[in-house]
Amino acid sequence: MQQKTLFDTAHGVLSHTVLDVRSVGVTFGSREVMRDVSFSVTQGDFITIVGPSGSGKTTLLRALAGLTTPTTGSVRFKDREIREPQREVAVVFQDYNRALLPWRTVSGNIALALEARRIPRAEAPARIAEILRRVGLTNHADDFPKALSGGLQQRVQIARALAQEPEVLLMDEPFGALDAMTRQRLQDEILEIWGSTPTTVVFITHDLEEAIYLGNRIIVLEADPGRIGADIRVELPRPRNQLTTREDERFLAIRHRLFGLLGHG
Amino acid sequence: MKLLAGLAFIVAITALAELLCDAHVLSPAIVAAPHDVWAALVAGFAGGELWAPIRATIFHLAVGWSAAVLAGVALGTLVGLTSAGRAYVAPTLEFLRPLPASAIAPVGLLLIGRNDAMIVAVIVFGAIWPVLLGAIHGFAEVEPRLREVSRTLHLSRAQTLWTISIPSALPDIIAGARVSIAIALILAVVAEILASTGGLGDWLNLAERSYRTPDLYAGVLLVGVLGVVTNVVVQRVEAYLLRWKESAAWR
Amino acid sequence: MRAPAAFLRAALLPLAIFVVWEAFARAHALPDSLSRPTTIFAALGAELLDGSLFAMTGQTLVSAAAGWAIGAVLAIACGIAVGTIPALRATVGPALELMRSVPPVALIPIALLVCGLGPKLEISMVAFAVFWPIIIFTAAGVRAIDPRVLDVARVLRFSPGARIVRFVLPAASALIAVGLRIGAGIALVVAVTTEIIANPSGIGYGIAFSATTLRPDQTFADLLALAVVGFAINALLVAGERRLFGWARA
Repeated sequence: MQQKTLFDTAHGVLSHTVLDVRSVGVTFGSREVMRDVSFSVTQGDFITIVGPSGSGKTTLLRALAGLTTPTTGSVRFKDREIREPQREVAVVFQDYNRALLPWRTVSGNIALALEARRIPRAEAPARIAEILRRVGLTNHADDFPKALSGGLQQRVQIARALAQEPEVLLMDEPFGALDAMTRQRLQDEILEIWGSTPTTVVFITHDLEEAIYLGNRIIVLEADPGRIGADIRVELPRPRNQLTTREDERFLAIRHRLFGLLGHG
Repeated sequence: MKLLAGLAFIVAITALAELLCDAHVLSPAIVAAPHDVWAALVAGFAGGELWAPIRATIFHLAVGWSAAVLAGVALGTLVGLTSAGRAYVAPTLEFLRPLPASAIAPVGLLLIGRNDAMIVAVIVFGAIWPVLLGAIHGFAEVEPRLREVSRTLHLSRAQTLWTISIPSALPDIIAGARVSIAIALILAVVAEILASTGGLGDWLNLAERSYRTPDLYAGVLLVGVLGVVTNVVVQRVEAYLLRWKESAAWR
Repeated sequence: MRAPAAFLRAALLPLAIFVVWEAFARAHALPDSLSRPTTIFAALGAELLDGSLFAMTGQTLVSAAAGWAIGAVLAIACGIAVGTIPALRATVGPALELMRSVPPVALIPIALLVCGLGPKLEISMVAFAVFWPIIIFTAAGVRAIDPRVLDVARVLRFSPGARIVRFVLPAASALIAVGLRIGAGIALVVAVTTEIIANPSGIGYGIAFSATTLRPDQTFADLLALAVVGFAINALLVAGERRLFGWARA
């Protein structure tokens, strides 16, 4: 059930639709993972997608990333149909330890994105230094991933994504494997990064409260097969605060609603 | 500590051999007394006769082994990274793997003759296998997530090969290279014996034929030293190239 | 349908090589040192029919097996000793690792002096060569035994000999098996190498003799036979190890 919200009707006039999901269905073999999912993402949004396991969250993200082609329907980036990964779309995976190059240092991993964009060698050090500063990894520039904690490794992956200077940042349960404190710290960091650039973020999570805390719009997926259960606008003030925002009445109201829709976290 | 214990043991054995030889328990026609072997070594180095064989064998090893490693990686890339290669070529390679490499030596003699080229060719043909199979295995085990990362970053095929596939396969390739140098040494000796054109293998053969046991044992010793030295060198290189490897899980 | 299709794809490359080689040989004259595939297969057939291939193969396999068995028995016995007595392990251990890196081929001339030509040469070379990996793996296998297993044996008042046979050997058998398999691979290689360089019997000698007498058809035929033998033995060893010791891997 899709709710018509303000930006859906206003696209093209006040803001741009950067991602358009049209009746996407995904079937693997005999298993229908996703059915008739449609929504649009406006540029500059921070969308969180939340749902239980089996709701096809990761499949949806992979379709947005161009890693999986939908069986029915289509995903469009601006005006192009996505069949392959797009340069302007960056992906942060949940398993950071498998997504980083263990044989390169932190700087080297970030450099990989610059090499892919064919940035001249001479420019790279300055750009890398800037990105390291933004994510707080300057002290670890020459460390290998194996020497870093999970939280730091995930930051490296985020840094590499930023080095792509993407228009859209897709994040697949990026903080799921981290402890609560690190998770909270990274939540605020990603909000800060998002706030300082025109990037659009699509953030997958199974954590209801994380979904409310981060996004300005929550898409709720129901399971078996995955389909949209609700599309909720989050009207909480920014900047968000781990203490006060989570105690805000509106936060709690949305939390109640999500619990009602999904049972439990 | 381990090194000392090993050396002490060797010293003990040598002393025992010396005693047995002096007491004429061991026949000099079969076992050379350690002091005679030492004398032969000194004479060989001082007089210069040992330098030529050593240089020749090292030359054969260097050329043969490096060619084997390069060819092994190149072929391994072609076979390991293309599904056609894996389906059509890999099975034949698996079939040929258990073939004793020294059997190539007479074939090399037949096809090329008695010269340096034959020795190097035999080394390459035998020493390429561990590297080739290591590369194929390494490329098959590239982390699938990294393949996806290369797609989302839009790395070109060449970039993916250079930044992801080859470094990922490197541990297997280097392990293959380590086995490869041991095989290269064996084949060098075998081929040199057959070719009779120089090298430590030839030295051993001639010494045995003329019952010059001190020279023979001296030669065996040098081959052993060469084996240990080459193994240590490759191990050091391996440790340096793989210093990024996860030794303890940081979670 | 999967297995036969994969087999066909695997056979495609060798078939293609034979066809191209044969076609080239029929169109141009080959040098004395090469022959065409059909001639090679004819020579192979002749050797099969007159029994010479079986005789050669038998000689090699018997020498390799005998050497392997002798070396294995000695190595397992010494390996148990080294594994259980810490003093032995400390003194002898590093020397074992050192001896393992000495290429056996370098010792063939010495063995020649000691044994002269004949089966004794080959068998002693094989025994010597397989001794080192087997003793190292046996010692490692013994070291890895859970001490409680040995305690149980002692508490049940088994004699040292019975302890070894009923407790130590079975417990260490997984690693010993690995050593035995590596040894078996080495056995064939060392046997063939000895035949190529020194001993006039077996397939290795067949290849060397055919090569030096400029019979390329026989050379390649024997080479092919050796490849098949090597492949078959390796396959048997892998299957055998999996069957007998699959439980240890769990």
